[in-house]
Amino acid sequence: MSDGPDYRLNRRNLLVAMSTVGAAGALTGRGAAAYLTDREILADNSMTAGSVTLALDGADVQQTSLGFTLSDYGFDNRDVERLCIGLGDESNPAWVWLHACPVASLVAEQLDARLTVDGQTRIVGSLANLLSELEGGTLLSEIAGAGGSPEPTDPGADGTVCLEIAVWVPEWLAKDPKAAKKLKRASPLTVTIETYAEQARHVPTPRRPVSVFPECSSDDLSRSLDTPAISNVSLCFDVPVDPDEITIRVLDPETGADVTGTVDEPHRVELTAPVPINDVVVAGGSPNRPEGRNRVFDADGATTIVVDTVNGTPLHGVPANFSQCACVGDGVKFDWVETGFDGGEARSCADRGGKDGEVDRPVDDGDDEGWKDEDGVRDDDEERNDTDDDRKDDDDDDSRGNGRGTPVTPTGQTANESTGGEFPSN
Amino acid sequence: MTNGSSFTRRELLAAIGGVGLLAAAPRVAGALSTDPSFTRYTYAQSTDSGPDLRVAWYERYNGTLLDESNQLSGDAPLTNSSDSFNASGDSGQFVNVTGPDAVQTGPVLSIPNAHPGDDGLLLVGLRAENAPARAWLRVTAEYAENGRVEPEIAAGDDDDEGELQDYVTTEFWYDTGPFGGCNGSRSLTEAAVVPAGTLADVAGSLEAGVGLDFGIAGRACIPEDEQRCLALRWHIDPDVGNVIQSDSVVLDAEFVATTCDDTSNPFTEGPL
Repeated sequence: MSDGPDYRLNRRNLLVAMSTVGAAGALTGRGAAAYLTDREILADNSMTAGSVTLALDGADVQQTSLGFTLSDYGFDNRDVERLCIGLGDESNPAWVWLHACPVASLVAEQLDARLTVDGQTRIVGSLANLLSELEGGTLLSEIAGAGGSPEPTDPGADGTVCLEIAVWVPEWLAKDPKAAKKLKRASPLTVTIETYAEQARHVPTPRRPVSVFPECSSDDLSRSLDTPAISNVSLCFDVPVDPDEITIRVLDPETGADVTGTVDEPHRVELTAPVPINDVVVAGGSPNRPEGRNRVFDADGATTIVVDTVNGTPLHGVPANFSQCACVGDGVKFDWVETGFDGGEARSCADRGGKDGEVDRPVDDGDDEGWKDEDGVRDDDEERNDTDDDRKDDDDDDSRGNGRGTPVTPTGQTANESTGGEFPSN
Repeated sequence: MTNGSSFTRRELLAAIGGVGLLAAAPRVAGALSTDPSFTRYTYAQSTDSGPDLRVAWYERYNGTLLDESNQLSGDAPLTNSSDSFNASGDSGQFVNVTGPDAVQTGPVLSIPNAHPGDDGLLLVGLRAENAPARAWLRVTAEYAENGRVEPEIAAGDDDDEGELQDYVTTEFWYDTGPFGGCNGSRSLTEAAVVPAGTLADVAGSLEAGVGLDFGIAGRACIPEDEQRCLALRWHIDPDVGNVIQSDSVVLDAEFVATTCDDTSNPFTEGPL
């Protein structure tokens, strides 16, 4: 059998071999046709490939559409869709990714949404914001709140994560007839969630499956990257300041120069005050970025400052009733109305320590869209305001031509509000 | 097997067969006879044992030792070294897995949940007890689809034939050294049993049975009471994707030892 170079059969070798075989045949007592053999069989050796299957219907790229029907305003009228994502019982552990595109973003930016897992809020903000969090892929285990280093999802029920997405129309939108009509047309609103699973073995670090998920359309993308407009700004001072002494210049967000012509919505403004400014709080009217709603700018005593809805720092820990009182102490709030800021209104919140009677109770103008608790659950004060808003909504829904953010007249206030009962009595 | 020889394989086999028949003739007469006078053959009959082939093995999977044969005797596991196999063989721990004295053992390769990117090594030692042996190997393979999960269908798997065997790159060589055999690491001088390729290629090359040539000092055979190793290394293409999901490969490896001078393929020409 050797094919080595040294092994050559010549006639002599062959003859030797022949005689050996013959001898062997003779010596063994068997016919040469019956070989001396032994046989060992290593049987049933097998290799079987495992599988990675998503639990919903086994497809590796899985699409699920959630339809949200929105017929009324407010958190109480939210529509909640539940979606459970996991791996099949026979599957192997895998990295499971979720993906969504910012759909119909014009509408999505104006809707509020909340993603909860096992009752824990994971994302809260505008629907566009929520979807952009998922865009390009988010690990299921991360959204489930595992924390720490990412862990693959286990197969079967153990690893299944049920998401609840709540979508609702913020109260203030009731005052914007255009938006209200758009929303009605958009309902039911469809949100498509895609999932993808990749084996965890040999993949120690999850690989974001950018090439697997369909690209979000450029239209959606550009809209989602739009800077949200400013809906109001509050300047905070150490002393009371007359709103008339404050000047506001609306700037072109691209060039920083003064804007010309009619401005539908401001993105960047320069504020000049007669006294040092402590802080400026900016509320975005159509936020679509994480924490893009409320921005705080530390003026550090300057008398001029440029603010927008992108820079500054996100505002955390918004206290109840914050829409009334962005500043601790004295402040002036300017609302954007149609094509310009209003005349401003001085608001003194003192130190929130109980200057009950002194406070010039501001009108609840319903523009508290940005002021929710981080957990997305409104506390009592807010709930009460919501109720009031609902009542007002019945009056001016679609019929009144005032744009959103327009202060309603004091005659629209309820007795409850005018007493200032909940503010700031603690 | 006769490279460089002026004889063709057929001529050689015919010649050997002829010699064998000639040599056998007296034995046949003796065997058929009840006459006990053929005493000069009794010695030969007393050595009617031929080579006793025994095996040892270990299996590594993704860098971990899965299974090995020394456990059957409770000894220290086989390792990646010649010494380990030699010690096992010399202390009688190579076993029969077929026949009346077979040990109860499972498969030597058992990968129930393979993934793309997996790799493994199967090392098999063959020991020739009692007599030098020429070893032959035949592999029969069965491939199965085992149904198609949806990711397979989505990946374009539209038939009922498994694909796993086409995506397992496989190397099968004589793990004989010269500097330390039975170590699962292939040196430049260690020859392939059959050309490397996919598992389907390698199994296909072995399905008719091949004579093993351990080639140490030009000798194909396993010397009496020594052992030689074969190594099979496999790796599943990490880029294969979903077409292999749930597919399976079942392999039977059949080793036959013949006398060293017998060069005919026992699988095609012998009585098996």
